[in-house]
Amino acid sequence: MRISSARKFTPLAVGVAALALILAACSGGGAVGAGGDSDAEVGVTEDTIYLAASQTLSGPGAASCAPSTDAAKLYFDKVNAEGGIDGRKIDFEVIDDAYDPQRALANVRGFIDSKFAMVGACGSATAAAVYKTLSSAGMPFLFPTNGVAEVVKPAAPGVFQILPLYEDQTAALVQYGFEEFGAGSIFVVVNPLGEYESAIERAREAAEQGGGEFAGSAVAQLGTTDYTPIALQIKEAEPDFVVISTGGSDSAKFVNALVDQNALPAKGVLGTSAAVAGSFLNSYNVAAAEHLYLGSATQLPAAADNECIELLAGGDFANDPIAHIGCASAMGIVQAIRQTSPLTREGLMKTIESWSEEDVSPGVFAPVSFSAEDHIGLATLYIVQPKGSEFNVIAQCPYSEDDSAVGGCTAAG
Amino acid sequence: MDLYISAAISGVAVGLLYGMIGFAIVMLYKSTGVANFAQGTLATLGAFVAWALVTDAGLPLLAAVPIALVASGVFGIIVYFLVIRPRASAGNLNITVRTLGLSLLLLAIMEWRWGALAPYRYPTIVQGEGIQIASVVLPAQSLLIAAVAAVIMVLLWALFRYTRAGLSFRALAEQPDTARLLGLRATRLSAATWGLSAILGTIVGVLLAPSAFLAPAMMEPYLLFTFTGIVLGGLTSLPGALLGSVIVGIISNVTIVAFNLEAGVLVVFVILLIVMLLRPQGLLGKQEAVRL
Repeated sequence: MRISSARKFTPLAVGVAALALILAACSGGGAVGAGGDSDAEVGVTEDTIYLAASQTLSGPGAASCAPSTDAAKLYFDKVNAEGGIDGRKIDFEVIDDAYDPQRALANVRGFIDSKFAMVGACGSATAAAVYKTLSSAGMPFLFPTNGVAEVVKPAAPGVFQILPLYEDQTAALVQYGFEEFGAGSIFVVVNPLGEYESAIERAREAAEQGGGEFAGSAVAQLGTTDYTPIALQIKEAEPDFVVISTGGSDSAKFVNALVDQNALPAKGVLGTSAAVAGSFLNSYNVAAAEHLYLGSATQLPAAADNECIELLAGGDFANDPIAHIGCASAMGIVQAIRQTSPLTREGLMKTIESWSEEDVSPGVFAPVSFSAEDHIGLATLYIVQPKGSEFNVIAQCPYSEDDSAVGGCTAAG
Repeated sequence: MDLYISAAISGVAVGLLYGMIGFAIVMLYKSTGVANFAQGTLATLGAFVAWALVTDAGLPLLAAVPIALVASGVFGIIVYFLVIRPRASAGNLNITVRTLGLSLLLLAIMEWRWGALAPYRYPTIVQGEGIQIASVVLPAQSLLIAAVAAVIMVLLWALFRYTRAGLSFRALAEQPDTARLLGLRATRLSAATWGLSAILGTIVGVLLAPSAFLAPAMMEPYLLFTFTGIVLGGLTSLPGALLGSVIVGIISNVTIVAFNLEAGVLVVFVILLIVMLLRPQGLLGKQEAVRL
């Protein structure tokens, strides 16, 4: 019965296949290839460059993350309104991964054969889940906000990151704290953002190398409801510094718990750029402001004449550093595309690897440099303090994987 | 030892908060037999309404909250008529799933309206430094939560124990057909219960938002602890909801300082499973006997 059924459908199957071939032959304007040119790059047509991002648009991290791609989209829209890049408009698609690595991977797989490049969004766990797939497919993964070292160390082909890793930041922050206030004990609190163990470990190493000591650590899930127990642990441990690598809202909850419990450390709270977000500014207890020393990849407040800052001015995300990063990264992507001719994925990667002290978004990012071996662009960490509804740079610290090679921090003029 | 005592005291404070959320769920369950999974989003919506009245309309918080309470009560009644009452004979499981759908719908609406800039800093009703017990400081807001929880529990207990309306609620939940035959106005009573439940939710939302920060999904992390607390205390017992929630708060916080935060969540799951296996009716709940 089955055999006869299959035979019955054979002519239909042949017909469908023939129709599909004809349609494929006739179509020339799809996302793949330009104008029927078989040599054209994936995701580039005569009039469009297709970009995509898998972003945390729902769940506990959404409030911190979403502004980055919203701001990137604003910048791409501006470029399109001004005529695009060499006559090509940017088509930017963002879909939600809810900070779920498997969902991010599924999103990315759907883009490999249709988009030119992935715009890196917010999220270390998701970046770690997708980078190998993208790198092996030869698809550029441009400027994710990532804290997982393996994504960029050693440099994976096509994967470029502007922001410093959390582990490098915690080491640089401890160094800054010791330089500024003298060596002391540290207690580290992290959300599992990427390789959080290495963030704790690098902080411990930096403290011990600087003549201080390690008083303990705590790991809290993103979205933790009550940080009081950790604040109590810190109150009992009485460290000189607390080092945090926690998301924007969680950092605010944690700092507020420290204030409530009179548990602010004697010398200061040192936080990675994960805390430098609008969601932190919206909700932290201002009584803690002078105790906070946070690392930032961007200059804050950013230069008013920066294209992104002009674009975001007056909008919902005007003072949100995450939005600044998203928009400034988009500027970098546009700059790289403009400098690449012919526009291929491989050409784009070579362009970025050739950047030395490149100003991709002056007044937001310090100049960035990449090479074939180094795919992390920034070598400067700004130290910022919250003041009212914005952050202000108070110092600037060079950082590196090799702590001994790093010079001292300089106070902001 | 001082650390553990402090953790236990802070556990009482957070447990009272879980208990407050639990009150509304238990009250509705006692009255209608439905476990309302939308309680968290109803609470958040009420808090957003109060916040919008403060930030958009410029009202002081103490004026905005009563208006939000009235609005949420009306909204609870509307929810009853639009979502719960149609095809009421479909059974409690069907209605419980409807509450889950309602929760997702309200969450989506709040994300659309307020999600972009969330979380928001929420004004506190009371200011002050609070009090110190052992080495833990109980902020003024936590003391307010404790006081409000005590008042609400006494009022609800008295309502169900001594008032005609409360007895009617219980009769309707336990023997709905008999209650109707005896002339109870089932529709009116059920609508009132939903309205009251939404009001309780708004009270919780307004009290919680200053520490949790106002966001559409603000209540989600609390619901696991709340459901564990009310299952532990007894799904039909208001004092049980409070007792169970406080126990969950204490055990969770002490476990966190003894081990880590993940262990603090893990122990909550273990409690939930043990209670469901050994004492399904909870510590203060009554065992149900069904005549076949």
